Amino acid sequence: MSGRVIVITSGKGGVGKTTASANIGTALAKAGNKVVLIDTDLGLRNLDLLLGLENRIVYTIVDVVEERCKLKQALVKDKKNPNLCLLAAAQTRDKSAVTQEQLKDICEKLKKDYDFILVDCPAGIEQGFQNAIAGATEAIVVTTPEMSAVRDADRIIGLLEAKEEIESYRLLLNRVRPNLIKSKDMMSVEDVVEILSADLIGIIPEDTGIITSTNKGEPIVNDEKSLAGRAYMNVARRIMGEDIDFMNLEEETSVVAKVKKFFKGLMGKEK
Amino acid sequence: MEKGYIENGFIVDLSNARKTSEIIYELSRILDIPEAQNKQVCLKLGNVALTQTELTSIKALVESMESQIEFISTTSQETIESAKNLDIEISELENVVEAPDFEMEQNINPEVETALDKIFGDNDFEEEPQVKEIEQIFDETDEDDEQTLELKKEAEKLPTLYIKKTIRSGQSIASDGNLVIIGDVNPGAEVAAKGDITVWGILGGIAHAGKEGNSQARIRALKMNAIQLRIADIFARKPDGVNTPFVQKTNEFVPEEAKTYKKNIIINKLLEN
Repeated sequence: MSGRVIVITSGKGGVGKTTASANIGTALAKAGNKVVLIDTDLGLRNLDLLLGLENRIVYTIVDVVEERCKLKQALVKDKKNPNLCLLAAAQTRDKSAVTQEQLKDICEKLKKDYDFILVDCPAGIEQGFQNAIAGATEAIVVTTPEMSAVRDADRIIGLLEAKEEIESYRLLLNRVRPNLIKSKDMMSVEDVVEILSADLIGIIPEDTGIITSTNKGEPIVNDEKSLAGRAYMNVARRIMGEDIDFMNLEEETSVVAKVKKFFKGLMGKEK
Repeated sequence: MEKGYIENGFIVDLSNARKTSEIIYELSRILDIPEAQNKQVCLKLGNVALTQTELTSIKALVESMESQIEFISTTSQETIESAKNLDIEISELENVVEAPDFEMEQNINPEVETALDKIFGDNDFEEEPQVKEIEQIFDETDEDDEQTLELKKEAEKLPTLYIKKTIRSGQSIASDGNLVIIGDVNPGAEVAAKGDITVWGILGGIAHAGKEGNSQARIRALKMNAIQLRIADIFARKPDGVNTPFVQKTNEFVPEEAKTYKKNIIINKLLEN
């Protein structure tokens, strides 16, 4: 088996890289793939929190490269999904503790046993970013419909294009608010795609459920009712090669849709 | 084995008990007597049906008093099955030999009864009793061999690193002796020491006492909220699904102490007595 190594990056901080990593990873695992999530944000790790695995971490990626443990021992299994595991970052070290070659080496080893290796990249374009993309052949660039995030995504795409090993990259547009787009207060999906001239892999609506799910340590894809959760599930299926239409968020989030859904729910109960 | 006769032991007649909580209550009452400790115990269990989990707890209770279950007698088929799975010997002693008189206290303190019922369920079918409540059964009266005593004293001979600040996420403090921190240890921080660790504040990160192998080292904190506790090579993690509030209330501190007990880490509240 030779797995795919996908780096999830953005340039700007706070646009949802880690949330995307946790949810896409969980979604891919739910679809039956064997998935490893690698947190490369040394010193500011969060991925373990989002997955609710913080209390299980004994060894980290730094322990692996410094040969205090075997790679297998450092992989933390997810609570719910045995197909999913996490290679956590060290919290008490900085970015220099791991080199590009070491990360590449780890990815190569994991490729043999897993279908997908998702690398959660730190913000910025310095060493942490260079490390994270070292082993990857594909990239997902996360951005939000804001000028600053789009500008940074543009910078990142430039860097990714300059790197030979990255064969393809696609755009994940996060925190989209259809009603703001409608009132022309937010850049539309088409605007962003046009500025960045990149293919889309998914559009994720703004969802307050993300906050609760982060605090609970439970990725939102596990909630099949949530819109963001369904959107992430679609992203995973597109990564697996399925051709799925993008959700029409405007319809899904409009008041009419909500009312319709409410009545559907009522009718369902009566039956 | 001769029926009804145990060397260095005694029979506890619990055949009047109607449910698991009564058995546990009576047993802990009887085993509390100093003479009852360090003995072989035979339990007459009557017809209460005990699941394997419950029988394990009863066994742990007896063992926490440094006694051993020699064998049990019961008329319940389920209890027999559970005992077989746990390698506890079963005797047909039922109604053959008179048990010595331990008067059965009929009126169980209602508070205790509800507490125990919560753990074991009224009808004995509750699976997996909560770890937290079982911990209270463990007793302090274990006698130490010389080596253990030596280890216990080790911490007193070590130098102590004294730090008066909050240890934040990403920081790690290690001491070649004991470690005293006046302040909190936030989640994401790590503290380690060769001897004991004392946190005069909230311990929220990872603490590793006895890092060079002293299993008698202890970890104390005004509030124990640690992600992980490690003592020597023993490891414990915070249970999943414990929802701690985002901000800890600061006016409700009950100091707690973690130590090892039979290859596990247990946490005791340090109350005034």
